[in-house]
Amino acid sequence: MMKIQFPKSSIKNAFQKTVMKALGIRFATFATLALSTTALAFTFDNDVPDTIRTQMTQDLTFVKTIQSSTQSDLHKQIFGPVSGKTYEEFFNSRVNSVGLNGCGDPDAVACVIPFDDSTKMWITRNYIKFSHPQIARLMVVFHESRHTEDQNDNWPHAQCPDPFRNSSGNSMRSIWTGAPLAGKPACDSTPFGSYGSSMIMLKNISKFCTNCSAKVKMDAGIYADDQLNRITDENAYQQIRNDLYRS
Amino acid sequence: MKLRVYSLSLALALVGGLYWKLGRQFPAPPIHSNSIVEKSKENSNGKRPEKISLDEPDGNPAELIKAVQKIQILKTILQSKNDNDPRLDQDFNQLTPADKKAMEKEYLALRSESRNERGTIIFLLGRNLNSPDDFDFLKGVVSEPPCLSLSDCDSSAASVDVHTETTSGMQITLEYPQIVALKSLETYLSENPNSVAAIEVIQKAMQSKSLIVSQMANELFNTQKSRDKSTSD
Repeated sequence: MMKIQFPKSSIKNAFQKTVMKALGIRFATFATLALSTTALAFTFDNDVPDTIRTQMTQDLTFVKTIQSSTQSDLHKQIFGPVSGKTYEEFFNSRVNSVGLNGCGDPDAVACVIPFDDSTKMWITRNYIKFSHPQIARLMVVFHESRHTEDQNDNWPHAQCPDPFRNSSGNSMRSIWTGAPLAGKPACDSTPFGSYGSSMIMLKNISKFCTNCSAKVKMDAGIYADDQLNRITDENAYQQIRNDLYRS
Repeated sequence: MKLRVYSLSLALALVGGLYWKLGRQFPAPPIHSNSIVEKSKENSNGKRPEKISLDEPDGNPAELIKAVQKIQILKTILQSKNDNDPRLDQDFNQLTPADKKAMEKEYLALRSESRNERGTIIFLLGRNLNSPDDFDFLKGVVSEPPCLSLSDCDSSAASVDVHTETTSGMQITLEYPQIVALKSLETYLSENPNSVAAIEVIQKAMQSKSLIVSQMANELFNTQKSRDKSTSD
């Protein structure tokens, strides 16, 4: 039987190649994660699952691509132009890190706890578990990012008025309990709070984004129109109507 | 002769394989959506001669193959959770009856809690409304019982935190497929203001047990009525 003997040097080379390949793959993975996190300018806590990191990164990466040629006046005041760069800077200047937390509510998607760390956003597992449209996930994230602003008292919510009706005159009620939302801290009395700013962002995307899909634009409009119902000060409401709803 | 027999056998095997694949892809619909499993067609005399099951095959083999391919693309997009995928605007226009049937089956196969996925299918179907069957399907969609929570449509949520409820647009997401159906009809009516079929779907939605769906449908109906009145004046 012919004995095949490989030179020792070729075996050593093959072994070295295998090791280097494995290390290379690990380094590439680390580099990709590091680069993507660096590009987002905030860090994820170690306990944030990869699935959530990936989804949130993808969502924010999409926002960074948004293009438009115009914006409404209120959008200009709050954010600047309707553009990915604007939204990236807005978010990155407010959120330094993202961690995993239940946010004290089994149905929450995200939250900020200002008295603990106002530069940190907490994400729940519902971020990927719940089937919200993409723009709705982003609406929540940008709503919460507004609450990081210590210089504006973290934009606290206003108590909803009593009676509390939507633009069609229907009583606003909890979808779960059916109880009226009147008197609850789930409204804004200014266009510049969390409901107002995220609503203005979405309505501008709906109206002016030039490279968003039709679904994204439709969704942005639907969720913005719903959030407008939370603006309960008449002047603030009219300001937004004049800014975004005049034909 | 042998070539003909071979070709025929191959064609039959291909068609059989497609039917088998479609059957496996689309399991029995969840209980939550039983209202639209069967539908009936009215003939010109207003009679309902037969009940047509969505399981009946439709279209020629070539159309079926394309429908399967379309569903694969759709599934890829839905799994990515990227609503800005350009294929949503490029690959789902001028849907054939086979495409629509496949998408309707996919809708029924999805869990009720898959609100965005279901709504995306309604969005795509809603841009291709051109037959009575299309409006029949939407009637079933708007007639679905309310989804009570994103964890389980059949059970109310444990949370009663209104901030959570309002911040995430929860009530919109819970009724997202139905809302998208209404938005599609709104767009359709702007181009086809005299569509009886579209109005009938809206009237069905007005009876929805979901407050937000019935309210939106009422607003849409009233807007359409005002438009009709101003046109006739």
